[in-house]
Amino acid sequence: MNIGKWIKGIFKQRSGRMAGVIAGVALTVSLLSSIGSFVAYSGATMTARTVRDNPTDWQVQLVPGTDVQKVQDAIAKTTAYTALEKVGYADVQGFQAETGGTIQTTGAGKVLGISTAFEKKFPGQIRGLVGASDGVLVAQQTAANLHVVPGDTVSIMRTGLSPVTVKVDGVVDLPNADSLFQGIGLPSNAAPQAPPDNILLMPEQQWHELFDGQATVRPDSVRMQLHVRIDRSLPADPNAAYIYVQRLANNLEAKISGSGIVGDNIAAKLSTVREDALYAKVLFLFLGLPGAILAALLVIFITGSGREHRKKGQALLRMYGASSAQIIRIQSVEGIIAGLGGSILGIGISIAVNNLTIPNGMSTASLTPAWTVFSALVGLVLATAAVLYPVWRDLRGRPALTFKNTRIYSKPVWQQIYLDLILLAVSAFEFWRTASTGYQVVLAPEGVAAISVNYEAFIAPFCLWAGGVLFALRIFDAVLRKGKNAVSGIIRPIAKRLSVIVSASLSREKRFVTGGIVLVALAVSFAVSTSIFNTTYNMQAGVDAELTNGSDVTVTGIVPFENGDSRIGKVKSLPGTSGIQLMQHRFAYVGNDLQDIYGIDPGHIGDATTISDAYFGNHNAAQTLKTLENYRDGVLVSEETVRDFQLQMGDTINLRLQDARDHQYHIVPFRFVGIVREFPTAPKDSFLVANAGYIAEKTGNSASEIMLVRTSGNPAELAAEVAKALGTADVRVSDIGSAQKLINSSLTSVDLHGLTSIELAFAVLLLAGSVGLVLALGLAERKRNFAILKTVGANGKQIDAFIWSEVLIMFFGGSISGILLGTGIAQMLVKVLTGVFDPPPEFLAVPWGYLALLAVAAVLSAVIASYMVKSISKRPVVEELRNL
Amino acid sequence: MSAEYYMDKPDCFIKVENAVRTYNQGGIRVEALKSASCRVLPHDRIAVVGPSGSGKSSLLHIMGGLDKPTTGSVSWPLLGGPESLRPGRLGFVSQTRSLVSSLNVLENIALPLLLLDHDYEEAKNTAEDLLRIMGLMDIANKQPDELSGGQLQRAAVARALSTRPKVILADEPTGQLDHTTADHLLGVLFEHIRDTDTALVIATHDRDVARRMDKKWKMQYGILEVEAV
Repeated sequence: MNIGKWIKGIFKQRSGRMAGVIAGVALTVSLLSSIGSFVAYSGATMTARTVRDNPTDWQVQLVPGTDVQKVQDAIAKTTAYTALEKVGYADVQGFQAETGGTIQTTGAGKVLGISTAFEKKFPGQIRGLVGASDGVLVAQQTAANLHVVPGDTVSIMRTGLSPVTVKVDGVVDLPNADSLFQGIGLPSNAAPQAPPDNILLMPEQQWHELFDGQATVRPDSVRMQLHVRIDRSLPADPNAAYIYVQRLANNLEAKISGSGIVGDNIAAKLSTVREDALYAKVLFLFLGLPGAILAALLVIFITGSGREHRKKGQALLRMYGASSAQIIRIQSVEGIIAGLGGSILGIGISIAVNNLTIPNGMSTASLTPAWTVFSALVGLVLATAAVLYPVWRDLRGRPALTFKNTRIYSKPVWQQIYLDLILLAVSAFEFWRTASTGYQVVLAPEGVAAISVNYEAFIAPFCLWAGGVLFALRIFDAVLRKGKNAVSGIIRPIAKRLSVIVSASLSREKRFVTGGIVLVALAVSFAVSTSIFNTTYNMQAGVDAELTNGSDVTVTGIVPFENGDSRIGKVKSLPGTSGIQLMQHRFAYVGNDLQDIYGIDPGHIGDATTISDAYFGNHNAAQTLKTLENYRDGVLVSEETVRDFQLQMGDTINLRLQDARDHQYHIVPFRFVGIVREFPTAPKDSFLVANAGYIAEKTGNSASEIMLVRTSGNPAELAAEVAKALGTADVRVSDIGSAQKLINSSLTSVDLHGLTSIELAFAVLLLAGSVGLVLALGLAERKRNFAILKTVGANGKQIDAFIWSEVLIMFFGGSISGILLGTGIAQMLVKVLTGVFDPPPEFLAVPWGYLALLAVAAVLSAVIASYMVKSISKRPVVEELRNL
Repeated sequence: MSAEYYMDKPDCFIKVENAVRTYNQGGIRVEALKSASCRVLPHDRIAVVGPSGSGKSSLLHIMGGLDKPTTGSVSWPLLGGPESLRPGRLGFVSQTRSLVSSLNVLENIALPLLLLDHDYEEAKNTAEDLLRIMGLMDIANKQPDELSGGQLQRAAVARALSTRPKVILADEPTGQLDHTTADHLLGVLFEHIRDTDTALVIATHDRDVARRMDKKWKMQYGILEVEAV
């Protein structure tokens, strides 16, 4: 057999089907390579961003008496560091200041000694708020506690030595206080240490003058750390980068054993990010893989649609004496050509889709070689297998050319054993089981380098997907087999008197029709579930950002906002401002625990920010805020506090708040009226929410530290306008967009816009491809029947009755099943990926616009396919008869 | 009687004048029908004989309105325009497997009546009558790919008869039948049109079949020789 002639024949005789197979393979390849590359790319971005935003990689705590130079040399041998500074830490008994005729005293605190180059070498560790950026600097909260401003003096109550007085040069914010004051060398499962409430920073030389003596009398109260920025040539993958930096730190610890311990900030940050990266991979599995499977099924469907032609060809080849091996070899050419063609086209589509959907993100270069090669291999294997499997199956069956079949209907095995119902039951059970105990998709055990995906979480959505599809197959199979009258009734408006035989025809073609319905259902469910999930995800990312920032624009006053403050009027008058609310942000002692307390106007807080039901223990924002409004002394408390203090609803809680009149903390009784989990601008741990009026009355201070501003326009533009109107000397202005970039504790911070765009673009392509190809190829298979119908005398409208009835059954059957399945899967995905959302969404966000686009694409492709088939049926009947 | 005799007859079912049909096959011009002029009159029983590839099928396709002559003309004076021929006034039996694969035999036979907007029950009853006459009741609910070549051809003839057409054009209807079955099929055909003015044109190789027809037209190298028998 001349292979060249065979190839020529394939393109001549089966060009349409070959084009369909190549298109299907191309979709599979491009979906895999695009999403795979995106996941790799986003992982690399996450690593790069984490490393960039991390000011200090290592904090090496030295054992007293250690030769600092030796440790420095060891660090140099371990990594080509780019910054290294010595930082002194001294524990003090407290600070005291005398202002306005009163004396303020704080509890225990820390004094840091830093070089003048520290801020430059580790940007982001210290942020100047008021006064000078060097000299003696007081942390914001300490300055508030002591009521000091630059120029005031503060007494430092040293441990074991007499107090000393220093003059305050500036007030600063320490954004990374958690890591700056971390407990180095604590067991990995130890609870994280809260940073001290009272902090003072001073130049290195001054610190030595004041604390070298303390180191002598109380060596346990003074420590020296080396802050290091390591060589940041790290692996792109967050997990690999984490393992690399962790091993690097281990290596250093081994080198300096006995001289120091490493506080590995970069590993801690990467540890969180690698979990997020794994979530991204999970998202890929959940959202991208069904699309790739669908594209693969499409290829199998297309190759299967040419089975009769191929069988005849094979039978003829056997009659000419070709062996099975020879036939398989010849047929494999078709698969290889489709595989190669589809892979090349698929990679081209990936490049085009990535460039189109992510103009500022990925580029052609971001298609990773590994994913590109893997996807191309999948395409090649898929095409070859899709062509060869039926050939091999047929060769094992009837040996010779035959046209006569015997039809004996037997239920497929999966129907006989009720696999669909079993899968749906398993899905429901798994969903109930895991949802009741809480999903934990990514497992990251403490102290273990490796993290893993809890694949059990996949069971429920997978079983729903597979079971739902099989169930739809069972239903439509039964409807077409037993419900001919019902089908006849449905299609009567189109088929009129022919409805009975059109219905009978559909019943006989049920294998193909149900296959088509399932493919359309899969395409629709993929598009629906992906789009609903992505929209919900984006909505929650917005809620997350708003929760962190407070509102669209948040203004934090270093000088708080008093009632009637002219600054409020200025912001109110800005175009784009649609709502303003002031919110107090103070601190209150719950027992010995200092917590943030927010004073709000419950009746109007919703004017300037979103108050979600998920923020509260009873999942009812309106009711909780109403209760708070009704009880003037009411307070909302975090779950942790409720648990720790065994609180019952209605209990009186005595909090200690600082009074503006004497700057001392005094007991203020509150009534516990509800549980709060999250609140705009509030920290993730414990905090309190109360009525602003009550706090103002009890503390003698009605000022508010935070102004929440809602806009009907662009938050970034309004933020710029606010900054311009108020100046930046005594306020800090942030907008929701910048907050979104800063969040790095949850996956919603990862910009999945690219992934979303890729998936949504492919969903449209797959839907249009499935509907179009399934209908066009399936109906083209029937061109013989159309030719016969014309011979018998059917006119165009009567042939249309056959075409449109099939199109409508497949299209609507598939679409309805797909919408139901897709919505169910989206609901389940949101539940399964609860860990992604913070807070979890209250409802699914339905992208009506996109769904309308999908519907248009599907309808258009169905109409185009139908017209293509109609054009086939319009060919001269003699031409078709000669080919029969 | 000469060909001119036929051409002069005004009340004919089919009138073919100087029909030529050429095809383009892979860039090569093939003349399937070089010259054909003929008329089919009521009550005609015509056998079109000739070797394979002589143009018999091409002539029948043109006569049945399934194809148009490249040059020359075809008309159906007593039947109407080409759109009104099928289903109803003209029944066509193809030599190929010509049943709709997704319909069973009964539905295939009822199909022309349904296309004529008859009630389903009425069409079904007619189809059952024909199946009974053809001796095919046992395969009524079978699908085409379950049938033998002979069964398929008999079912195709039954379908052509279902609308009681004025003209039946049958292309090798007995090609796959044994002598007895072929004889029975022809018997049914003749019986069915006995008291009507229906014309029957059969393209055939079978001399026995040709012998039973009133007239014999010869096709050779695409040229039709019309003669009275």
